[in-house]
Amino acid sequence: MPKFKYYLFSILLLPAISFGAPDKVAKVIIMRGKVQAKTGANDSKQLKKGMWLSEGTIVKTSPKSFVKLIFIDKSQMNLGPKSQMKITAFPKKKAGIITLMKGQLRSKVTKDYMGIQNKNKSKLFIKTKTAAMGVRGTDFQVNFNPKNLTTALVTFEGAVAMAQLGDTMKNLRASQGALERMVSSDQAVMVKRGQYSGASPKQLRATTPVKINPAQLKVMEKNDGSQAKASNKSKGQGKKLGHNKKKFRNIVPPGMDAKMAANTDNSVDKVVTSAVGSSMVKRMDAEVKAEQSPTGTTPPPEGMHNRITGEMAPTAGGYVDMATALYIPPPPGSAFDPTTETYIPPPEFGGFDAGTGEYVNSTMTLTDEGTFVMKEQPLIDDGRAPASEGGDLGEPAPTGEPVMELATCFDCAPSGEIQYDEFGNPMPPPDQQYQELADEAIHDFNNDHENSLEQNIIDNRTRVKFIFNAN
Amino acid sequence: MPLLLNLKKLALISTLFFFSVGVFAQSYQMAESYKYFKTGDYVQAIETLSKIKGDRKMMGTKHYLMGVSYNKIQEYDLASKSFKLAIKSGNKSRDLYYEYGQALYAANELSKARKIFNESAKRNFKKWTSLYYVAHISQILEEWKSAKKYYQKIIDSDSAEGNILQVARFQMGETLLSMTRTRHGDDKDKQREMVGKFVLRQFDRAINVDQNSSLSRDIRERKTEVQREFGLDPDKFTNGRDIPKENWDLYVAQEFRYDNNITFSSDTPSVQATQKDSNIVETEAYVQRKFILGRRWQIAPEFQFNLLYHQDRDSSEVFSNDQYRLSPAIRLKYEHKAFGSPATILLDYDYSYTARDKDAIKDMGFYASSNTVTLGWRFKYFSSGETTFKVKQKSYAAYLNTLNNTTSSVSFDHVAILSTQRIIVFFLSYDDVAVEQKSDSSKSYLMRMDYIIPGISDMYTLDIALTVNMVDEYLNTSKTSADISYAPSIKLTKNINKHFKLDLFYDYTMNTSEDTANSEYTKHVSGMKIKYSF
Repeated sequence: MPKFKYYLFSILLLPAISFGAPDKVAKVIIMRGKVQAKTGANDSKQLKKGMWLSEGTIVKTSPKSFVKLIFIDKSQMNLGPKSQMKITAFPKKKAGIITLMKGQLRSKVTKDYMGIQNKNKSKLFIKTKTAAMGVRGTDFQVNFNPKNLTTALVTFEGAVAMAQLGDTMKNLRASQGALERMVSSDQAVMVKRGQYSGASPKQLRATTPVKINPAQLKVMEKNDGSQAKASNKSKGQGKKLGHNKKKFRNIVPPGMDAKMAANTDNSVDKVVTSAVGSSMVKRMDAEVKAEQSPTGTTPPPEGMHNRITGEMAPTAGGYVDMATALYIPPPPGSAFDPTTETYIPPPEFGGFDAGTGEYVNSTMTLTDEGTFVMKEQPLIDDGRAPASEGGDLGEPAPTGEPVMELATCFDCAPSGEIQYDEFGNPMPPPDQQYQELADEAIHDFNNDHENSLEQNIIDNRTRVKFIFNAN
Repeated sequence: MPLLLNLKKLALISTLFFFSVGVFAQSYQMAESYKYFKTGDYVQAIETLSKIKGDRKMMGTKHYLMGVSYNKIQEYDLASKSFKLAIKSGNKSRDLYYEYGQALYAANELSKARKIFNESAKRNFKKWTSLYYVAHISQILEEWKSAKKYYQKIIDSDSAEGNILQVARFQMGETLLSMTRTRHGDDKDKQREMVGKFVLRQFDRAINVDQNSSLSRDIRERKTEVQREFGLDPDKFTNGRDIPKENWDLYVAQEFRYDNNITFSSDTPSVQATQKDSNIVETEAYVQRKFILGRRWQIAPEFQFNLLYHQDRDSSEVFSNDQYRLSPAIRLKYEHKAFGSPATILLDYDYSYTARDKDAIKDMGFYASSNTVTLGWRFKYFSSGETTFKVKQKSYAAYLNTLNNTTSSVSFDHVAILSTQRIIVFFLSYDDVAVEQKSDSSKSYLMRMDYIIPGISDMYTLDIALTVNMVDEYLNTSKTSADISYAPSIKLTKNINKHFKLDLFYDYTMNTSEDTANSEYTKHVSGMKIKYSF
């Protein structure tokens, strides 16, 4: 029903759009809270429902505010709370360019519109300081955090091409041609349904798309950005997922391969078939298949890193934190879900709000730098207990202390391995290095001291001779 | 009557109709929840399932599917409840006990979980993984015998392979380690023996299952940890100190320095004219070979050669100092523990042969030889760093009997490593030089402190030092106090590359004495040294 209303509204709006003033490109159709539009240096106004916006307008939302815009090409954009975007360009005959300066932007483009032109060309560009995205899909969400310059893209339907903007490119004046070249280059990635890709100055290129946590995806998909407040609805049995106050042990015993512990049997299919009949199960399987569009070549769920090309895919199944725009990959040792081919982050890695899809963690805070800081007593000891440990529940980390970092390197040498100096020499542990330096100083000095003792005797003799001579 | 019959029929048909509709609705909900489950929308699947009410079979399916879904979203306590109900409802799913066991294990209901995993293994569902859980739970519950029994079952099986075999072998090692600790209490030697014989062997066999797996990396790290704990690390001495990675230490060095007062002439105007300066070139070559015996002993024979050449070839007082020295030595170290930290007993024997241009004829001949025996002990008593005590006896035989002497020394040094990663070295020494011609005998007290700043721009090390030396000629009654010299110095070292190292240094010496005319002097030495290590 809401969808129908939406289309009806769009149809009614069309004539208004067609006959509107030529520089007006978007209209406010839904709004909540305080939203401002800035068209010039000193020209700032409060937005109201029904107002028109022109090219060059900067739209800024306050906390708990939200605005939905419909553009002249019928595409819709929802700007989330504490966000800022600029309608950089929106010509009638070319793809529009939207710059997301901070916060969250959810965009929906109708399928009909997508059918009008060449599907291999972008119909809309979204730009942030670190990424350029060419929209070839119909529904996606972009988050940009200006503090860590990280861009996160999640696609719900269709596909979005994404390329990371290097230092030299990020300040270039964006044109459709330049953006199209970027998102069509071999450095760009195609983010399809259910996938995430991120761009940040810490990496060489946009991450290879991976599946995010399927449950979070579902909730995010349903929330177009208008649900800003944490929900207490019945989803997840009336609570936020990841907020379970009980202490749970990691289901994968230390050292065991998560895939080995995973149940890959098709018992669920068999049991349901026996309960509802094979025809209904087949019908549902067909529906599932249709819903899950093919994602092409995907990296293994464990993730991968090609040091030569810089291609990097984090572990699949992680959460997307919309506030920091960071992806929280499941740590090694996480349980594997063979149904969705994703890893399940352990409870201490948080969960998501069942109403908004926002990442939540009751024990730790994720900083913009990707460090988890303790809020209170931890729920669980081991995200990834060393293989040698029995997984006993450990001592809580002190509040405010950083307890772990998000994995940004997927094949780094583990700690404790030999360190090498700048010349490639293996380095002894620091204490031993210092001792060696001290030993060298003592050795040199001892030689000098020996010489000086010897010299003393010679001096004495000289002096004695001198005294004799004086006498 | 026919009407009554018709009504009955209608009631029956209606009942059947509504029943069918009800059954269909439940089936449809079940199918829908199945679809949610398949797309990973477990929350929606649970919500849909919770609305289903039906016969025993349908309820069994419902609870089973809810349990699996709860497991996926890590609501393990709710999963356990659902699986329990599924079993009660007679659900016969193959994986029911395995999933139930995992839920109980995660919810820390370990004894129950072990029972359920045993049941899963009996039903031949993921048999070896189920047994692994049984063994691992026994290990957590510190029931070592039971853990050992189940790990052994996995190890002995023909069908368990890959990761499960590797992790079982590894955990078998851990179990044996725990058993060793429990059985042999404080008997460290016995523990060491058992760990070497059984635990490390299991670790090695675990690594050999798949040397490239990430688990192998963990096992290697753990092995090193255990080796260190029990003094069995082949790269370390038994006390935990690192065994030097290189057996050979070989370098050559060339030093160029300028000394403004080679003759140690007084600064007093009357004597100042006798001050002689010169550029000095010193060449040094050093070789040492280390032999490690039984991870306790280190024997290192060494040989050093020094050649000193003064550029001033006109002043005999200067070039008569030209010399070369041959210094073979043998150094013996015994590693042990003291104050809970690694400690070393040092025993050195040094021989030195010096040839000098003593007659200023521009030809070097025998000048002196010496034999030195040093006994020392390095230990860590203070948390800041290591301390070394040394006693030394040196007998010196020169070309002139009057120069022959015996030096007895006691020295102490302490290396303090600061939290700022700077190093302070304290050095105290007392030397008693007994010369054959007793009037030349002296006692000297020396104190030196170095402040070393390593890692400046990753490549530089700065060493700032101050030496205070007090020499008391105890038979020289003409003086009432000792000569004291103050010598501040600075040295900047640059690690040019893997082999080359460059030192730039400046030393200043000021000697104060009652005998101002003869013994008070100042001295500036500056220069550079380049060292090539092989």
